[in-house]
Amino acid sequence: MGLMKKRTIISYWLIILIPTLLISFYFFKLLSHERERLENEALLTVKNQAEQIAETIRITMDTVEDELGNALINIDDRNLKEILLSFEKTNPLVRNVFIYNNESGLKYPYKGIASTKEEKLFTQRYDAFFSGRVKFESTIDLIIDEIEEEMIANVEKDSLYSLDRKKSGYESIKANKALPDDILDTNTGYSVKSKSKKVRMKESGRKKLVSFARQKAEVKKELVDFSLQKNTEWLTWFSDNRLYILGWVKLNENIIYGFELEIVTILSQITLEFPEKVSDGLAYALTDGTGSILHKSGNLDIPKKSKPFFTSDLLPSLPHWQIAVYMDKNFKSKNRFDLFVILTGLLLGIFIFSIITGGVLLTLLAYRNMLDASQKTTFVSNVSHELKTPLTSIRMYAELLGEGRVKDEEKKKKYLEVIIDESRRLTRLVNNVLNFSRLERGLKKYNLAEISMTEYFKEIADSATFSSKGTKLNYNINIPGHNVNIVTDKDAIKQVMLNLIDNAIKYASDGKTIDLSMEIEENSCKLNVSDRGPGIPKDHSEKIFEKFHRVDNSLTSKKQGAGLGLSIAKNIVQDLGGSMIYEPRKGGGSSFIIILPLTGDLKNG
Amino acid sequence: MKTGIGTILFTFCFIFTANVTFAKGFSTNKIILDIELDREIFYTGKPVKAVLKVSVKSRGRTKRRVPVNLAILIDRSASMKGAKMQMALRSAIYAAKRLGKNDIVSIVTYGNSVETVIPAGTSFNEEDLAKVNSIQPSGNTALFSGISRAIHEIRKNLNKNFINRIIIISDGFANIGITDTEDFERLGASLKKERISVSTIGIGTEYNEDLMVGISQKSSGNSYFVETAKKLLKVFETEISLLTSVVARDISLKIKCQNGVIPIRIVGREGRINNSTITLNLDQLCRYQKKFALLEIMVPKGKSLKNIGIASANVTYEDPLLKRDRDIEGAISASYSDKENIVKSSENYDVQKSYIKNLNAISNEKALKLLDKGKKKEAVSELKESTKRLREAVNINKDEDVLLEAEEMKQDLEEVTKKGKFSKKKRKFLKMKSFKTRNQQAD
Repeated sequence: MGLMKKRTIISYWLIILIPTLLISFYFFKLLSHERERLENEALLTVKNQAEQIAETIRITMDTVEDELGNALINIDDRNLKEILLSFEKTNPLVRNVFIYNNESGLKYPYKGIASTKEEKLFTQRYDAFFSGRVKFESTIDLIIDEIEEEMIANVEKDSLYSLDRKKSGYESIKANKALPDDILDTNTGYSVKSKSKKVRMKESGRKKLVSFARQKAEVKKELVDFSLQKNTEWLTWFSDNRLYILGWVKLNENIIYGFELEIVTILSQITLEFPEKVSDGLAYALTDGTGSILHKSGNLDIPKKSKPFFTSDLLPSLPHWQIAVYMDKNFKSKNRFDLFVILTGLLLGIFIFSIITGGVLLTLLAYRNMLDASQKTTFVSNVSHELKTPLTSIRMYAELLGEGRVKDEEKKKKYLEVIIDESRRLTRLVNNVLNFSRLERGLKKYNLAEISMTEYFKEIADSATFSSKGTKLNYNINIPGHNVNIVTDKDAIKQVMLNLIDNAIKYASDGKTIDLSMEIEENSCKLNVSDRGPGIPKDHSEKIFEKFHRVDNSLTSKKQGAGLGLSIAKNIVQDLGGSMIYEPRKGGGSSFIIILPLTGDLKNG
Repeated sequence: MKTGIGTILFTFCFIFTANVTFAKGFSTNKIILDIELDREIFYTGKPVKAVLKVSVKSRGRTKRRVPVNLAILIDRSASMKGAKMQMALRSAIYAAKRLGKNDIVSIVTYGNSVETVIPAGTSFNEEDLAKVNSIQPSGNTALFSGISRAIHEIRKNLNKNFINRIIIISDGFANIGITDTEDFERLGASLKKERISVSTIGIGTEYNEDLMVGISQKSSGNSYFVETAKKLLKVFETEISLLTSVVARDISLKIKCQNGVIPIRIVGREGRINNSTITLNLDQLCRYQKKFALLEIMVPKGKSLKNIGIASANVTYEDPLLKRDRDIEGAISASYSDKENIVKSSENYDVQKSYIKNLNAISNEKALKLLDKGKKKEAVSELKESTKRLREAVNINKDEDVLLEAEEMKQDLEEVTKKGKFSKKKRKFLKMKSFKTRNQQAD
């Protein structure tokens, strides 16, 4: 019956546990997908941040070029040199200024002693232009030339567009084409772009324009008109692997003026666009054409030749410059993975742990209940059996006396004694059961009073000796010579003592001698009940004080009892502030010791 | 009798040759212009090379001063750990506390990355103090990013009338981002256009003095070298007192040579010579400070007793307190004599001394550059020439100051001849010395 129940509980528990484990597993898988998604999101955020930096820089550059470009166009050409020089003197974005004449060469900076060291380096840098080897050619001119070239090649018949003005430009583009267009040579290279108030020419725009112009020849005329307006052209120039930007305006057929931008100043402004705080293992950097780092934001050390995770170009204003994102191998896992796994693992761990412990606890509880139930059943049958035996004797002797058949006075007296004895036994039994129930409910009341323990112990021992007269039992009594007073409940102590003595008689009557002894120690007084019976098996020595526990619990047990005596005794002693222990006796037998505390002021009384 | 007339004429000439300055609005002018020649009478017969010294100094004192917009940039790389960092922070706090309620202070630190510890503001309270004291050194040296951030803090108040200054305290080479000296010099030059000057303080012997001096020079700031952190606070005191006593700025000097006098070169400073006109910038002038420009000129031959106008000078500057542009003019003339002793007695030793010191500063720098390139021989001959120049000056004038310099030069020469290069400390010392000489930075 019990086994069946146990199995049911375990199977119920397994029914819950197995699906839980399965769901957990599935959940974990799902979460790891989620983790991947979050990782990707983190990487995307990093990418977006880089793109954002790049875009801000592009806008900054556009603004710089727009503002300076407009300023350049709007210079009053009567005071050209003075205004340019005041630009150079006051504008931190202007590094050098120049005025160039197609026919007579460089007008400013002056040659020789009159130019500063910086100006000398500047003219050297752009020597290709200032010496006349390479012409200042605007994007619009290049486009017009391209269209014209195609027209000459394809449509000879169209005589409408033979513009004399462009002849020279056509020649110059040929000279120009020898140079790489918008391509970086390791040492020297250049790219051209055009910018004005109305139209901004970007590479893609230029291509569109070219194809568009191929279809509609009218556009070319507009372009020619447009090219006659003043535009600021921007030239990016590489010298010794460094980027330089030159802005220039064609004032008329011959005179070209402009300035060189101060790249370092721009760079110092650009660095402010980078975030001040960057997560560990990550760095945003600005790199130039050679891959060297111009600025870095973030604590990550970037080893040479390491590849960026992501790059964003800064075209068209800053060719070959890039916003690069570097991250160390652990960045993904360090920031996302670990925490994620720990958290989900912890969650699942707690989940499973609570289910298992819950299950175990429930099983244990059910098992306990089952045990209790069976103990109670045994108890009831034990008590009934106990009650039945004395009642049978009482009834039998009472009937014999009632019928009046027993004439012998001696015999009558003996029968009456049996009846009284059995009634006493019954009373004790009932008292035990009542006490037990009171103790269980915490209702037991004690009448505390100061008594002489030595005298009281003697009294109990004497009455035990007296009642054993005529039996084979011997009592060995050992009482200390001096008196000790304690505050306790007289009746309760007596009940405990009698329970122990009863036990000794019941289980150890063969041993013939019961030892009753009392010892007084400094703080306590010890009452000892020992026998020479079979003793208590080791594995029961702890449990004997539990309620309903019997060493031999079967109904067929030779010894009668409800398993209450020791439990009640221990409870009472504890209630009185003492303790009770069992000790196996040397040489065989049991020894029960009641330890009662001596209250401070009574110790020596 | 003849000699009598000669003496009278000579005396007359002497009075005449004394330089005259014409200041517009004389009473309100903050600076005094002084023009001198290395001698006042030239030997007749052949064109002579001479030295022209044009100096400006502040006039008197003013009670009020222009408020300061200061950004202190502190290197907090790992090498700054310990006394250096402690003193740097103490100095920064000293500066912040010493400046008044109209002044603006910001504190920026840089290591691996940049952090604005105290953004630009006028009040410096206990909370700020705690923030400054909590700075912990670690990582590398992202100097360029640091300066960029400091510039950003300065620019917040650029439109108002302030003396703008960035003070950099560093003990190491910049090793993150831009590290080229040339780039930092360009940045300095561009900052000058915005009236921001950068003063640099190098601690110990491991920093890049070329870079630090370069940015200071180009932005017309000051530069200091302290061997140990102990002297840091004193340097800071000097710098702050210079900063709070600017009496003129944007000082621009224009010298016009007259009567066939030809400018040869500017000694010590950077400037431009366009035909007979020389332009250069002296930037800022502090109270009690004297700044000058030296110019080598060729004076044409002339007749004895003849008087000749040598050059005129025009100084324009801004009075920062009143925010008004001012100018001051002056001129100098000289005369000729065929008597060698008269020429000799008209010599101006003060001008000669400045000239020699600047020539030596240039020689020193040249020698340092040559040594960097491994050209020991050329460096030694450069230094030898300097020593010779100093020796000659000592022989004539018995000047202890010059004598001392000559002795030092001799030792330098011995060191180079023996070891082939200067120690790190010596190199920094020499670099600083020539910078100070050329820019008349006060010690």
